[in-house]
Amino acid sequence: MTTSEAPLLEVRNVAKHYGKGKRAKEVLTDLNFTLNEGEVLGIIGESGCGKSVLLNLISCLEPVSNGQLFFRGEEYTGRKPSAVCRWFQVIFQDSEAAFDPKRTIRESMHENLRQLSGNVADADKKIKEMVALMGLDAQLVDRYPRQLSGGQVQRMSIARGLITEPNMILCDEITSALDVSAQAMIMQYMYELRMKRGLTMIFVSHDLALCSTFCDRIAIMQEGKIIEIGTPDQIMDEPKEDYTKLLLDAVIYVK
Amino acid sequence: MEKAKSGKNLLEINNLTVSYGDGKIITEVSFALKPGEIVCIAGESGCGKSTLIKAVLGIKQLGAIIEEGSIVLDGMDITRMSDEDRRQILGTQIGYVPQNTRGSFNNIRSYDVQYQETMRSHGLKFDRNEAIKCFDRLNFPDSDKLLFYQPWEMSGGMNQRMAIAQAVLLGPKLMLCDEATSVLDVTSQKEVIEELAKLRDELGWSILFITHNLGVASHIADKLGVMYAGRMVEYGNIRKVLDNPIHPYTKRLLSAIPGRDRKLPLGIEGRPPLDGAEWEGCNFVDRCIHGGEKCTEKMYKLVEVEPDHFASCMRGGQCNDNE
Repeated sequence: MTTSEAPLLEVRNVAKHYGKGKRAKEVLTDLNFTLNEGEVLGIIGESGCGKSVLLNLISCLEPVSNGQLFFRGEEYTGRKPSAVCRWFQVIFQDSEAAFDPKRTIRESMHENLRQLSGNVADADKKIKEMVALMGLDAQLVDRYPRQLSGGQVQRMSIARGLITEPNMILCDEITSALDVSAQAMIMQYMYELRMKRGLTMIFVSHDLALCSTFCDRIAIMQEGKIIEIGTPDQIMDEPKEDYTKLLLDAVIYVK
Repeated sequence: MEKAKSGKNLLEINNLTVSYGDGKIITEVSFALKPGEIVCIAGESGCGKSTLIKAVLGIKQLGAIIEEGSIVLDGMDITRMSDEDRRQILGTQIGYVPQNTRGSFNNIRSYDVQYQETMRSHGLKFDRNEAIKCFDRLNFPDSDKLLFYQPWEMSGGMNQRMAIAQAVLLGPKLMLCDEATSVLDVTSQKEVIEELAKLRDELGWSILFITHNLGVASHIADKLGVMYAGRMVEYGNIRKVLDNPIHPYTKRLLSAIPGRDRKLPLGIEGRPPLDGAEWEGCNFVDRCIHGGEKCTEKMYKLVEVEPDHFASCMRGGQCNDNE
């Protein structure tokens, strides 16, 4: 049942717990939100609040304990990761670990294409295009991950996510391991990507200042619950929850 | 150990050049730390910030070789000290908090045992009450139970703070913090910074604080040094450097931090030259939007632009940003 009005992604009453019976530990409680085509949602919270688990659930890397997930109005709860990886690509914080250290970047990208579309005929052309889109030199794809700087590997990993043309990318703290100048570089290319491709994104981060520069809406998570969701202006200027205010206080600006 | 009459500075770094065997990593870096002062060194990954700390620590296994220059701690030259003598000053006179303290503790032994061991190996007595007092002073929650936890039970932020507490117990005069807050999320980052500033006020510590984030530096430092590819490109009073940055690199580093205006931060295209520390002229010229021939003609030199503010831009920062 695909309707054109249905949002790209809908998360309905999703919950996740680990363990059984008395020892069960609830990590996510009753999450609800929708994401429209072309929208960027920022998810902010402290370490351990369940941000990364949420991305794992959306991309079916882990099964949900309760609730439903919809993609363009079609329910996909409980599917295998391989069934949804054409829609979603996850980009992780430590992307050097996400590449095979014994393969060149090009070989890793070929693998991605082979697994997802089985079509490697024009792979090199696609790789060239995506790598250029991320502002990297095409020759760098023949290097090994360890031969690139942290910022370059991260951009390569975004390029790898994009060559399979997903509908949405899920970014899990993609800039936290980088220094500020590399982070700014990534954000610029992410911004261009939005402008050129209208890509939908979920952008998980602990940096409220960074999210406010880039996202259409920001969701604040605390202990597995979304406590506040709104546009950057609403969140930054008129925070409703005490925890949001606390997070705002903790942002370190240049004095 | 000969100890000269101590001057005004607690730590002096004079014309320091450091390598890892081949190629210079740091060239001709000089600055001084007064007692009770916090100096931040900022710069992107690979600019030699951490190498600077390794040189001060002087542990041979870390690999940093001092080629030229000297490091003077409280009037005592520690540049080429024997391992034996160095063991006397590390910990008790120079404290160190690394970026990732997960590796500093044994994950499955309690802090109590590990604190005891550390104190004993420095010839000091461990007093639990003193440790608890120290936790209280740093506003740690559940201070009376903390010692009996094991590191794996703690969050990254808490573990980092336990490492700071351990350094406090050893009572050093100089503290070296190598990106001590970079792995933490924003809330714990602010807490740790405030704790360090508090310790400086109460104990009169001097802190050499390495960071890539000028935002963090602006909250804690008295003086700021900006390093680029192994060279100090700007140095001086924090307010003077941040309010009136001269070197284009300092300006770019400032614009890379997300600000209150909610504009997208600006990055710097390209990478620093690997052999940048060997260059004679300006080593930022390739990435500088104003860079030209003029920048490579003259020798690198830190010039005083105003009292307590030095910069090394060949054009004296006299460039129009809209060029």
